[in-house]
Amino acid sequence: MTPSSEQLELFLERVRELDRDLAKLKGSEVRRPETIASIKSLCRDWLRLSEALRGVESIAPENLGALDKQLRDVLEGTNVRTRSSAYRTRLGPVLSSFMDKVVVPTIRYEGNPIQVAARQLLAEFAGKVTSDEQSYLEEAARCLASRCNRASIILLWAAAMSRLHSSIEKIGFNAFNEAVENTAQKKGNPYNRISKAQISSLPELQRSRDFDLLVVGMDLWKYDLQVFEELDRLLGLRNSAAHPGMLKPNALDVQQYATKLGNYVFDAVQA
Amino acid sequence: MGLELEKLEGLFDFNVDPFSLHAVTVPGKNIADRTRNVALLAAGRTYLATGAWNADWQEIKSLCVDHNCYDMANHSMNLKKGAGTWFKSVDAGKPVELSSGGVKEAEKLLKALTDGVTQ
Repeated sequence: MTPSSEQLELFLERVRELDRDLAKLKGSEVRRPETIASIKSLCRDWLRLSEALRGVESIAPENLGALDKQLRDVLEGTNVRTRSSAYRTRLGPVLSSFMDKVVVPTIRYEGNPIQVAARQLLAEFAGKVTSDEQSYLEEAARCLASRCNRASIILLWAAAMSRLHSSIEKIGFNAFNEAVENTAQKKGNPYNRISKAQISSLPELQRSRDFDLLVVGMDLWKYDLQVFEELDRLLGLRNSAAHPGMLKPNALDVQQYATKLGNYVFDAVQA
Repeated sequence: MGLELEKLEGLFDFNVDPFSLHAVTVPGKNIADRTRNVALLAAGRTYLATGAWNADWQEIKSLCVDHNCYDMANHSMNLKKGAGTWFKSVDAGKPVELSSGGVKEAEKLLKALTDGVTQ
């Protein structure tokens, strides 16, 4: 997981604190085991943070490499007798460059509108999804952050279908089959387009068409034809996103797609 | 919001996806003032994108860095000074939701900036 700018700011504060403590020793050898332990822990924490920061495109890898070298030298100093002034000399370049070369690029990365859009997409569903659904949504948010907007739409739809499937499991397959029969008795479009097959297990439900679930949903979850039509449009968009074509949804399209699913699926159908 | 699209185009870059804020001079007597105005601008961008008047915490931080008003030690405190007046509440790391007073202030700021930008 990518470290946050807050974690990096805390790390910088620890480096500053260590430097202040070392300054108090006025150049003498560092002997206190607690100080040596905190130097070791600081350097090891950095090496872990540095590894996790490799995916942040706004941080130049050579800047991370330079800091790695500097703090490795500090860490090696703990294996031999080292003066506080020697530690401070090695920490100097870290203190002077950490804010500009690591913290600021991370802040810019986090504040990029595409990252903001990904966080807003997740916030749309806060408190109304299960952990299974959350995993689809997090993947959708990662796709959006990577500008894979079509993939994001597909995963948002997967989260919505997961909610419909789990709701049907909860209501029971008998109730679902009854709803299929009720729906099939109605005349005209869209009722005459559904498959009348009965189901008795989750795998059978997973094989059924999403369109059928949306139509039967009018009976099961009591939404009206207008909501069905909106859900059908969302399914159409999902299908377009999943097949070759000229569709080019932008970030706002994905966010609006998420908002509509939130309103018409996650608010309307209990988990 | 009562602003013409042409004027908003002077403030936001709609050619990038998602759209972003152009470089502007954020008004304010000091860093704290400018930080709160940046939060209003970020909320304005969110409003145009989603219809909700709130500002993403990390976006505020990033815009503050860009507009030279990020004070690491006092950033949260600077925003908290606006809690209860412009902002409903301010919790570090969470989106900052604007109060009705904040919305009016944000609209005023956007109008002032778009007038300045397009003149």
